[in-house]
Amino acid sequence: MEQGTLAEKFELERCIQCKKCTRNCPSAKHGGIVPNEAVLGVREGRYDGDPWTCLMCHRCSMVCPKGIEVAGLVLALRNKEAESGNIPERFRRVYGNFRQTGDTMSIAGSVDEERNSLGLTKICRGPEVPGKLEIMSGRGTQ
Amino acid sequence: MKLFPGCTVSSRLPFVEAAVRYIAERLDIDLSPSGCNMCCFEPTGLRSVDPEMWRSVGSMVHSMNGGESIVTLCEGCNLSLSSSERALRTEEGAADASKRLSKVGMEFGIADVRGLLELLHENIDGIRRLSKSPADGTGAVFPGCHGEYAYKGRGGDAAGMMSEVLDAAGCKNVVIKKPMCCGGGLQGVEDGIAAGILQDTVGEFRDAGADFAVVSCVFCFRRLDISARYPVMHISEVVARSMGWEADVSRYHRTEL
Repeated sequence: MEQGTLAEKFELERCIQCKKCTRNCPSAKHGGIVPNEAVLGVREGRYDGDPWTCLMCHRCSMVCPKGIEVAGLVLALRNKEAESGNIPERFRRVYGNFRQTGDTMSIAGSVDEERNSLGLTKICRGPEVPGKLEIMSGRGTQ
Repeated sequence: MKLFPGCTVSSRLPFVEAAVRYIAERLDIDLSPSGCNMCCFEPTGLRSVDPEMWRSVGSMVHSMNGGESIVTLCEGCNLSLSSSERALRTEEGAADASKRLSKVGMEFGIADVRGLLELLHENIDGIRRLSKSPADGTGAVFPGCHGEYAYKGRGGDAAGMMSEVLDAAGCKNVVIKKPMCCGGGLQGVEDGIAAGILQDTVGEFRDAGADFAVVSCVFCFRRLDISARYPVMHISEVVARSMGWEADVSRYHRTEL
């Protein structure tokens, strides 16, 4: 989605640049994304910041006095980056795990024993869920 | 009501599921296994990488629990599945999900997503009545960002609910009215930023005079316990212990309480 379309979708004309999103952004304080600049930049069709330095904590969305879904905007920017193949290695790895096993993390062989000692049933491993393999293969995606 | 533990609880922190089951039995809450115990397709990284897959997985989890309430034990799952639910409750979202599901032979359904904090808060009188052994010390209330956002979407105040549940369980607690985050969303992506954020949060806990943090998000639990080496308890653990749960869960606490 192009920046102009995003600006319309998220109704960025509502932004008054009060910077409340940035003041409440944990990442901005440490040199990461600056949410109000992302909103302004996309609104003006010139944003070239790095959306992967956002935590997706949604605090910007929670505090915006105009109700702008700032985190949703950043998510859309990340989707666009991902479409171009620009994906941080950690996310690429976790995504690969999901596509292969249906889980995002490796499951140690001892986990069932641990669960048993806590009175829990065996872990439900990824492909055991009916239909999951098909979803993982992308068959359920459009 | 169905229980949706999520990947982290199932494979890394199963004591949370055990504690919740203990609480549910004592409060006479019927918690059966979710019809689909799979990854919620995590809302931070995976949803960013493949939004189409996120829609499909959300549709599938809801389909397999259609018409039921599902209780999430991870605030990432809470956020991801609540966002799916919101989308599915629109005409466009429902049509999209039906189309995806028909390709894999499944039918459309919507589950009512709830977080653990909501379940505990709804049963606060029972918790108060059954609590006998409160935790020592003062816990810093830390629901985590995804929980705060998900509960806010349903009109709830995560920190307020958590504080009241802790009061009912006899656990002294302190609510810190500052934006705090575990930094987990940037772990492994921008480690310097993630570490700085985590240290800010731990600093707030210390300044507030807390002895440990209480979390409802298992990802925050791991960030505090493993990355910050700061003592942390999961809300389920605090409540279950106060009711007499005696399971040895020390192996899940790398930082001693």
